[in-house]
Amino acid sequence: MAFVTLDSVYKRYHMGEVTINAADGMTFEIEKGEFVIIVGPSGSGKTTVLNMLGGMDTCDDGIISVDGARVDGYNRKQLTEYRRHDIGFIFQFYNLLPNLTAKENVELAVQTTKDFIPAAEILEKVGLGERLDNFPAQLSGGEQQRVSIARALSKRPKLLLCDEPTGALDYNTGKMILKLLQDTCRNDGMTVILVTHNSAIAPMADRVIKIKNSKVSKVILNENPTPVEEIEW
Amino acid sequence: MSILLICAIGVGFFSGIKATGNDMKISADNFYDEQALFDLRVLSTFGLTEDDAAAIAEVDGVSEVYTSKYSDLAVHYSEKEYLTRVYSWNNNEVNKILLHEGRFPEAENECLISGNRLQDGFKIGDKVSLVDLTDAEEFPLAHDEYTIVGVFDTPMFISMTQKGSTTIGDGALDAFMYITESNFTQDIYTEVYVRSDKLTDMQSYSDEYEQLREDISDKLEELGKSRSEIRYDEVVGEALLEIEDGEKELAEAKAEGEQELADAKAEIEDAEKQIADGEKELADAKIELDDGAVQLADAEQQLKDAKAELQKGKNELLSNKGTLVEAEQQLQDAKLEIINGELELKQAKDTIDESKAQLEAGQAEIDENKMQLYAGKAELEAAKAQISQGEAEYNAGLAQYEQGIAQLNEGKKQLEQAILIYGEDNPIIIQQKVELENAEALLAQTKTQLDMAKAQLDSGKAEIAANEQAIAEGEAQLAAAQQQIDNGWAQYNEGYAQYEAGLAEFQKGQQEYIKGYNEYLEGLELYNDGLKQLEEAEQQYEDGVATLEEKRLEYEDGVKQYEDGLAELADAKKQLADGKKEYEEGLATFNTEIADAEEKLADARKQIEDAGEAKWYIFTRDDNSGYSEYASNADRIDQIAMIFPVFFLLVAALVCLTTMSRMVEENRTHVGTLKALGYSSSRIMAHYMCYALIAAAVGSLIGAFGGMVLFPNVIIYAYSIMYIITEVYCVFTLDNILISAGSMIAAIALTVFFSCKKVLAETPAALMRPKAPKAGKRVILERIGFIWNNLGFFGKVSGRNLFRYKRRMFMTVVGIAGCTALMMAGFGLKDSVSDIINLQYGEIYQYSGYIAVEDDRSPEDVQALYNELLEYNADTVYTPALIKQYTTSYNGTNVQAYVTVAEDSAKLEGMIDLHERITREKLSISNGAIVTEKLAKLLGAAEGDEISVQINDKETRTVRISGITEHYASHYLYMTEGMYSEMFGQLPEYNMVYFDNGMSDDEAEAEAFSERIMECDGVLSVLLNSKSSSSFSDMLGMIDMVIIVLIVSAGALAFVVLYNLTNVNITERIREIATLKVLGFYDREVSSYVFRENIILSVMGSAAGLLLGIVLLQFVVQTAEIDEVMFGREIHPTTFIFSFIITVAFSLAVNLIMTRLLKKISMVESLKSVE
Repeated sequence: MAFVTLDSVYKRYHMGEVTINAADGMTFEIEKGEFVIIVGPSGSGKTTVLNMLGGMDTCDDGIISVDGARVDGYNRKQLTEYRRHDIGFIFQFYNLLPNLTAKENVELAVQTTKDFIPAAEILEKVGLGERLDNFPAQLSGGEQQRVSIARALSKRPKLLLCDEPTGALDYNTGKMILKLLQDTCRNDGMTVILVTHNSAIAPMADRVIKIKNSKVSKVILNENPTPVEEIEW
Repeated sequence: MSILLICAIGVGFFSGIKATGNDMKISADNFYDEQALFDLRVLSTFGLTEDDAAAIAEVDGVSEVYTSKYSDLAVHYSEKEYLTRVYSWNNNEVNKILLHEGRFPEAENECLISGNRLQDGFKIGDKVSLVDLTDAEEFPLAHDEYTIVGVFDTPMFISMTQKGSTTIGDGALDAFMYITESNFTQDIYTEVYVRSDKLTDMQSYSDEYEQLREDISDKLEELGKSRSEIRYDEVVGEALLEIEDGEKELAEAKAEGEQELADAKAEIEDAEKQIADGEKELADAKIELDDGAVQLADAEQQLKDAKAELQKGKNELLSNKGTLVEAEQQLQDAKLEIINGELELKQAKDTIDESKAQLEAGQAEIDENKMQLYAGKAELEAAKAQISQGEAEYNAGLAQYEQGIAQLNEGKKQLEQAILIYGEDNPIIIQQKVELENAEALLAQTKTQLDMAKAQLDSGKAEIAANEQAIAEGEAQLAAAQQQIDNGWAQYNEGYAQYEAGLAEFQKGQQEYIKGYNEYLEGLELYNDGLKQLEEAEQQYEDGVATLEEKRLEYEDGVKQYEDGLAELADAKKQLADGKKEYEEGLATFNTEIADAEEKLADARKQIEDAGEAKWYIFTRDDNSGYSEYASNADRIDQIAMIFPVFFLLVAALVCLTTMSRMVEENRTHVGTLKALGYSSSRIMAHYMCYALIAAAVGSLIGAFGGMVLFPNVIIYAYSIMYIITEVYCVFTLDNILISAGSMIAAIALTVFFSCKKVLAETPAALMRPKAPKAGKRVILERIGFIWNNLGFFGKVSGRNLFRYKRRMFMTVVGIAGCTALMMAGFGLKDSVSDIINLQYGEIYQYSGYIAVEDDRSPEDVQALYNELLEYNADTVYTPALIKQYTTSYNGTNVQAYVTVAEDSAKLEGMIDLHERITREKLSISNGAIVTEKLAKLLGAAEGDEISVQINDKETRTVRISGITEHYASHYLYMTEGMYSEMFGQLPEYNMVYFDNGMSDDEAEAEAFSERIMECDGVLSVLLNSKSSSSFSDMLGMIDMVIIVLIVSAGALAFVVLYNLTNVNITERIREIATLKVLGFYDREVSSYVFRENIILSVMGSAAGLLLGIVLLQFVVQTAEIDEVMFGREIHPTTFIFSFIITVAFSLAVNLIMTRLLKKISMVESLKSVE
């Protein structure tokens, strides 16, 4: 069985009389250590998939399994623990706590786990060794996103989920962030799942999952992913 | 919605409490109008007549006039005494009563009665008896027993506890009664009630009303002056004329009576003189008789003495005769003896002479023998000498013999030797030998001769010795004979001496005999003389006895005469006494009659003088303590409204501001969109303004109307325990609504205006973007290394968060502090009120109770009461005391206070703990007058000031305050008996007995004790502390009600404030919270992350609130106090604890509710961000 499996996953929203299917029988698999890009237009349901994968949302039907565990059947508390120990999230808008310094933001995440990488070390790794005591407002967008990545990585998650991590960044910074993510995947064997509407960056992934109308339209396995440096959009 | 709620609560509380004061007054006014309560009341010292009433009716402004009579009497009902004002029934035209049950009185002996309808329980059909406590002669009513036909309350006295004062009893009225007018014996009216239509139209407590009433009152007073004069002339003129007539009559009667008495007196004096004469005569006679009696007694005594002497003489003679006979006998015996003696003497002489001759012969013989003896002695001596010579010759012959022996022996020796040499046959030797034998033979011859001589010598010697013996014997014989002779001589001499002595005796005896004989003869003669005298004396004695008998008879006659005289005199005296008594009786009757008449006249004159000038007194409703107290209670509620709700409103407004400004912030995107769509700023502003104002207005109006109905009803209901006014009129005053709602709406409008303006100032594009979260920065706390470093990670986060949102922190702290303070004021007020009872009855009043006693009790009754007390408990301490209400004043302020005087101040001090509140310093009455703290405060007087006491209608006296004692209920002025006497010019008339017997609060015990004491004569009532304490707490219950309203309101506000602020907090930080959730924080951890701040703020706010509460409480306690009592000033620790705990508990409750909200926050939704 694959490291991550989604089998006929449904997610429905009820808006009055109308029922919207945000996920309409999605099925795909991901192997451990892969750099996966889920790509699709706005509103196609890619973020819904990520949310369900990350335990932030539940599916209404179907099977979601991660590392052999059935996430779809988790209750509220199990989901919390799942998020706590197995998942690292990276958002478009970083979602750093403005009132905490870079170091503290990372520390906040590891308050919940025992097996973690010290904040200073991980920040050093993402290239922020000098900015430990800066507040988010004092950091650029790229730096903030790097803090966010450091925060996600510090607790050694099984999955690193990134929701449009470059969406709010300029081209160069975005590239640097993608590089960081790809390096993390390659060097640390981390399974990274990245959601984006930008299909241009798809070549850098080991596996590209294309989503359309809340369905998986295509899964492409890329034998030779392109390094980030070579990608342009 | 929350704005609506907060506005409703804030405005409701403010306007509700604010309206209450006014509503109370309006309710009261409506009540007065409905009951047709008088506006003014006219009294006159001379009473009022129909004419007076008519004149009053003429006064401008007076619409209706009602006459009334009343009398203050004591009503006895079910073993209790009520000081009651008995009114004439007015057919319910004025001062309409509230008839609770029964009907109006119709017959003369029917009555309506009011009392404390809760406690007294007058029953229809029961009878009450009336007692006049004044010393008036006539009972003012036709009957003294009435049947209750109805129970009522009167609008004249709306207070349940204060019913006005009276001049009887303890000075405080307990009840009212209506009976038909025909019962009153007096013709004139006591008072006249005046009503004015104009006044009825006005608010009773308004300035307008008081002004107009003052005008009418002035006019009435003016009228009073002229009417009084007329009345005075009428009454006094009549009375004076009567008095003069009376005086004249009296003078005539007096003269007549005096003449009669004088005549009687003269007669009596004559009789007295006669009796005196008779008495004197009798006295003389008595003296004579007494003399006679003495003489008789003397004579009798003399006779008796004489008789005794006679007897004595007889006896003596008799004994003398005996002696004489005896003496004769003795004489004869003596004579015989003398003769015998003579004979004996002669014989003795002969014997003596004979023995003398014998003695002389014996002597001669001895002398001869002596001579012979001497011759034998001489012969013996010569023989002795011969012997001595023969001895000497013998001795010499012996010596020669021995020598011859010796020579012989020598010769023998030599022979022997010569034999040896020569042999024996030698012739020489034989010669020699023959020679020797010759010599030897010779010698033997000599020897024989010698032995012969010796024998001769020895016989000579023996002879001599025999002779010597014989001589010695002869000598001894001689000596013995001589001795005999000598003895014989001695005997002789003795015998001779005896003889001589016997002779002398004999001669003496002879002489005595002669003498005795002579004596005998003399005695005999004397005896004969005595015998003769005795006979004579006996004759005299007989004569004396006869004379005495005669005298005695005479004396007895005299005595009898005297006694007759005496009896006559006694009769005369008795007659005189009777006469005198009659006279004195006549005189006394005359005197008392005259004195009575004079006194009556004097009284009548004095009455006229005392009556002084006739004067009208105009009273208003204000003079009824309940009426003005009610107004001051209303004012007090107003005062509470000044501070409490304003505070409340402020807190509410503050919360509204926060909420509104957040709302505008939240809607920035919306504003941006609108702006982008081309709406003008003013339109957008109007939109929000409209929304906010509608919410605020609706909330305020709901609050205003709700509050203005709810609060007055609750509070007036609470007051209905004390006042008879029950119907509540809620008046929605516009200004009230305008002030409260207006200020609230204005505050919100301003907030909206400024927040909108700030938002609108930004460009639509900027608005479309989410507002950048407030940048994080270092807080002051981080600079304080040791605190910061010791905080945990979350502690640091919370700390930073707290300081990040300073405004919110401030708002929260202020809001919560306000709520805590309000709650504390509520609790504190409750404490203060309960302290009144706890401290007053628990600490200050140490006595068990007091007993009211009748004014005219007898000392025996009092003693019996004391005994009863002691019998109940031998350790009972008691002291009689006076408690009477007087008006005290200082600097123009008047306060009714009880003057309390105990017979034994020291005991009273043992039963009432008098001490200064703050210093706890003990106070003693003996150092000077002591006033209670609240009295001093109301009067504005301090220690050392002199306050005045109105001791009667005309006079006031001053007394210096020497101490102010902690005291909570009622006002007292304590003084000693001495001070009272000095002040009032009389000793206090004790009407109470304070006692302390340590009895428990047990109701049954109290009941039993009361019953026992009530059975004693002269006891009016028993008031036990345990009972007073509980009735007092009932009375204060209504304040509890107000307090509960306060606490509940404050709690509600606390809740709303916290809810709102927490809500704001969460909404503002929803992204943060969602992030935490995504990071895998448990719900619990998320909640604690958020609420840690809340709890810290709540605690900070509560702590600040406690400080604020102390200030608020002090203010509230001082403004909310009723005049009659002083609230406790101490804030109990429980007040702090409760206020704090409740606030924190509310905060926790809010957090609990918010936890659910937090749970519901969807991560996906919250983090969706603005795509």
